[in-house]
Amino acid sequence: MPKVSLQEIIGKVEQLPQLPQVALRVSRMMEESATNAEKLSDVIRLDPSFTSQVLRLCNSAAYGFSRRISTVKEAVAILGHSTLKSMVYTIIAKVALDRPVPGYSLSEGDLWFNSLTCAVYAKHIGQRERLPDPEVAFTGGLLRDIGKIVLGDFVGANYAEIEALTTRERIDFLDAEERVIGFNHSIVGTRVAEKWNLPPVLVNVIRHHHKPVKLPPTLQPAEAKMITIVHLADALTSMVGKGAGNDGLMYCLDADALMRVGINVQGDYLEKLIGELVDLNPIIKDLAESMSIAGDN
Amino acid sequence: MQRTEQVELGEIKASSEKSLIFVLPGIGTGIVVAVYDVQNKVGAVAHVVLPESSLAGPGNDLLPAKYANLAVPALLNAFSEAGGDKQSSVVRMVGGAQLFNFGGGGGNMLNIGARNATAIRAAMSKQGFAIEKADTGGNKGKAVRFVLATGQMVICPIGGTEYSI
Repeated sequence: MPKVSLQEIIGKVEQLPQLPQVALRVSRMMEESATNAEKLSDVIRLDPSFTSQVLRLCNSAAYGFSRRISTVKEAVAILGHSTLKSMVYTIIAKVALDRPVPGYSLSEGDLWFNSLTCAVYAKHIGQRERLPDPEVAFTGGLLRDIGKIVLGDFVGANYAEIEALTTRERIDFLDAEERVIGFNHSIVGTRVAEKWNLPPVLVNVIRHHHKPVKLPPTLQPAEAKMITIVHLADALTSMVGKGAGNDGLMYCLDADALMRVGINVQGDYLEKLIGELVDLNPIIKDLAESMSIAGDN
Repeated sequence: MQRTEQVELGEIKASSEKSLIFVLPGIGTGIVVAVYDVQNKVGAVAHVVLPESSLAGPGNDLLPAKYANLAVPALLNAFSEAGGDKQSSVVRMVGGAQLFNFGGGGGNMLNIGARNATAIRAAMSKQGFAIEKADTGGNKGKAVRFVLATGQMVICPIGGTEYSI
């Protein structure tokens, strides 16, 4: 079968649905250092559905606030810049990812739940490994696989060949995608991220989350570590089977890349970590449920 | 009329309700182990995550089926409480896949799936049970339905065709 052309990929990217405009505007404002809380509150309030989603997330058990938060102004003040930003991206990601992707054998909700799981796991590992801002790892985990919503159709049509290649040549699913289709979901995800004008740090996670060994050497150490942590969280999400697709376990976890950013996965590190991550599953369920109720409004 | 109930990672569920189907939607390196009383049609199931509880940190042991060595006695206890009889029972298990590989210096250091299977066999043997049927290993995630009317475990490899044990 001929490889897919760049034009076909771009065509698919162009057909993607619009993301919530107010949420995108807020996310862009938050990338600018001059944005103040009052301005943010004013923009969030422009969209009642977005406002409702922000408040429901704030009041979910995942954030653990002792009192009920009932206004946007209060939410913006109490959450802090970094947490509010990851919350805004959570709302954006649900719109983008909560859809079936049959090419990867992902039913409705699977990719969304898988992404939310990876996000929570990445944040936990980020905290454990003392990332300066673990919320960025959360957002990276959330959006790392957006390329699948575009590449899914092509993977579906070529799945047998991709799977056979992984077995025959002992390469992971991502490399087999690229060999058979001409693109992999990281490359395509980068296109999607650029179309949606996501910040460079998220474009980098999406581009490199499978192959942290190929990170540009010019990247800041904290960003390189964050992307490598998303790589680890991605592999562990597949291992515990949360919303995984047909590519799930055909994944190569790069121990050398982890060592390079100071994470020594030898010995019982990973087993202990999995034990911790599984305890987070009720939080993930609660987050997903609060988003589901919010989405119904 | 049939009813379904989801079993999460690290959970144990048991019942004598013949119309019930336990659903386990995402199984990776973990293992679903089920015990079924073929005469009385009572079943119990656990979704085990890791082989050994000795690595658990403080406060890190909240789920009854997280570790194989603790999950098996708890599973058999739940089975008995639901009315299951050890004498007329069979044990089956599914899952225990392995991540494709570890690049760089990792090798296959974390063969959790296979170690989970070994740990469950050992723990069951200690309780006087052999595993009647097992479907473990490989590089694919699975979903399982445990049907209490028949004791069958219906296995659906992600992207593959269903079969039963």
